[in-house]
Amino acid sequence: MSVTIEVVVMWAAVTLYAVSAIVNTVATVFRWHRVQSFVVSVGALGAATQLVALIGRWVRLGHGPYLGFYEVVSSYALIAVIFWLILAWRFRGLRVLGVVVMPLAFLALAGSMLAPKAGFEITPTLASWWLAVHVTFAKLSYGAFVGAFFVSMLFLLRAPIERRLAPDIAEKIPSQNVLDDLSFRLVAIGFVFLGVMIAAGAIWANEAWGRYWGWDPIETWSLIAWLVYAAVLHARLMMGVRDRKFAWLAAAALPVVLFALVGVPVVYHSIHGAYLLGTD
Amino acid sequence: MAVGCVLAVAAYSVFGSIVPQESVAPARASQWTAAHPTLAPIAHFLGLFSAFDSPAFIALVVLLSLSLTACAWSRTRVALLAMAPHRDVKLPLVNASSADLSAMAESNDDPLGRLHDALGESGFRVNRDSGRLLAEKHLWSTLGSPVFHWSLVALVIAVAIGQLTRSEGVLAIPIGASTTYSAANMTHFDGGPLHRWPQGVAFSASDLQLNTVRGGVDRGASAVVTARDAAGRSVTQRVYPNAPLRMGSLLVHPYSWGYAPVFSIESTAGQILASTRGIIDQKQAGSQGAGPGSFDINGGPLDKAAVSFFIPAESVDAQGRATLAQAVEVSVRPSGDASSAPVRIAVGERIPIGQGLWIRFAEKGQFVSVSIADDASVAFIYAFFVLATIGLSIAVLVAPKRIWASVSADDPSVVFVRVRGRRNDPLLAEKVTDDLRRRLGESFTVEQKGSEA
Repeated sequence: MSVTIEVVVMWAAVTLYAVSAIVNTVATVFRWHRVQSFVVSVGALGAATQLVALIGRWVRLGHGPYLGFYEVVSSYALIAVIFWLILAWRFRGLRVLGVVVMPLAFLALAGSMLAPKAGFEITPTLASWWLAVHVTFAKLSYGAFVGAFFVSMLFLLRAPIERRLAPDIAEKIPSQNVLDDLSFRLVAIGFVFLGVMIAAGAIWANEAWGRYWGWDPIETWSLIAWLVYAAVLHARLMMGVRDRKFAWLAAAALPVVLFALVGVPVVYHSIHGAYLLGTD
Repeated sequence: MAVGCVLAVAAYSVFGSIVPQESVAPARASQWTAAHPTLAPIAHFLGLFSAFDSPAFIALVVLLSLSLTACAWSRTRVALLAMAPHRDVKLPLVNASSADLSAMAESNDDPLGRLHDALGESGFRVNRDSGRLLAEKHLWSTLGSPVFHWSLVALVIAVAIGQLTRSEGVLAIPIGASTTYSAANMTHFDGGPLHRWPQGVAFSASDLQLNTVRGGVDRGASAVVTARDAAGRSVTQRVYPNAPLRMGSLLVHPYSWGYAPVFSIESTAGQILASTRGIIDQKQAGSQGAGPGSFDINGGPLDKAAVSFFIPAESVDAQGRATLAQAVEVSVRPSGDASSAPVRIAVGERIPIGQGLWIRFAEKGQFVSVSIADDASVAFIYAFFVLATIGLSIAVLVAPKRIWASVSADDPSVVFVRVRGRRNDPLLAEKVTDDLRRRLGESFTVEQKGSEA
């Protein structure tokens, strides 16, 4: 797939995300419940379109979407949409989360389209299977934690949200017990994935440099995120924290992992420079 | 306390991440110090440049490890109790969820037996004893938490032992020659206090390629490295990033390469008195040439004299890349005297350097330097990573359940059911009720009597 075609396909995905976001927002405000399926379908089509562009770029460049601002941010937008689609498929009432997820995905993808799209070369350090494992589990953990965040926010803001929705949509929102359980499961899955990401990164570092841990800021902050979510899980499983308190914990922990994944390469001089900024 | 330790380590790590760590990135630490003249003294005073080597951090980690051990111990007891077969006791879990249900059959035709079958279909292991029934499912998952916690304890111990026994350093290996793996031959060496040198290990290198292309990616300079131990075992492979050579606990990575001209100190009659190999790293190469390098003459009338050499460029291409000459420029500075003017000598030629001695440029030569990490703990750390992940996955994703059922003394068509499950499971009652309703069908009415999560 040539660069021109890739860019055209990506802009098509941006457009579809925008349509889904706008229609979802308008439908929510005016309580047009019948367009919910349309919103989800357009969002899914946008994700599929973006996936086609991503695969084409992967084949052309020979590496996945993990080098440079454009690739990283666009792939995170895709992961967020995919997680929303899975939740919406599993629980029809969670389609309402599209009101927040789709605008954010649109902004992220549109923003990434403004960044340079030149492919960065795979350096000798990056040429490893462990990179693919590490990045895959990073994105999966991010998606799970973002999902937990939105489910927790839905739990906390249920009353005002239900007031805004059409009655037959509001009644489809899963019960508070289901939301509470789902939030816990997403945090748990994200925690497992985050641990695998850290382990894969350590193994890769040992293969590439002969040391599995060097207290680089990205390594340190990944560990911090893991420790924070460990505390959240302990609060649930050992200290009986549930419902509103757990929802607040799950929501408050997200900024830590967001900073670890996106903020550290920007703020610190880190080995993850290539990851976001395209520098080694 | 364990949660407190976890959060304390996390908070400490936030501060530790503010500045580069001297032990792993000394150059970046120096740059940070130069770039932050006001903050640097404060950071030094607070010990931030070695935050993760400090006694405070070690104490935190020790405390966390002790908490982990205590947690692992208590969870092991809980898991063993929970898995004890056929014990008619509640799942001894803190904050375990429980639910009480009643299942009313339309007829008195062995409702307990039908419940027995329904639970069996749901994957429970069911035991019936006259008017009572005990069903268990996934009780093995209670092992997940102790496995996870014990693995973390083992991981911390392995890392600690590894830090005490590991070493890392750089070894320069002339192409076509062999170098013994020893402290004398290593540079940039850092070893733990309990590190033991493996005896009789030597490295040799051959076939230096400056552009090693593998899988469509230029991996940079690489050489074929052979490691040989005292028993004669050897491992040979081309070493480049992400393709290290392994022999036992040794892990060999490429570090650099360069030029290694061989010089011999001779008498006027041509008798070789000493032979030395000079080293010039390729990072010292530019459009003018490569170098300078230097070595000292030891012994003889020119003892302690310093010899400097430079490999001049023969030509420079449009990109500024130099092609080196087949010659070196040599100058000698006898001890206490000024240096002589550089003299150019080609391969095989020699020049007088005073006191009846001559220096000959015997051989051009190249070298490759490798970083050698000696850490026997890595394999154990990997294994404990895997175990911890498996234990964690089981602990959080597989929920144990235990169900007791007994027929009502007043009405044989009614069965009382008590369910115990993973702590804080708000859906325990709902899931079990829905499952029983589906399996028992319309001939049963299943209702929740109460639940605690």
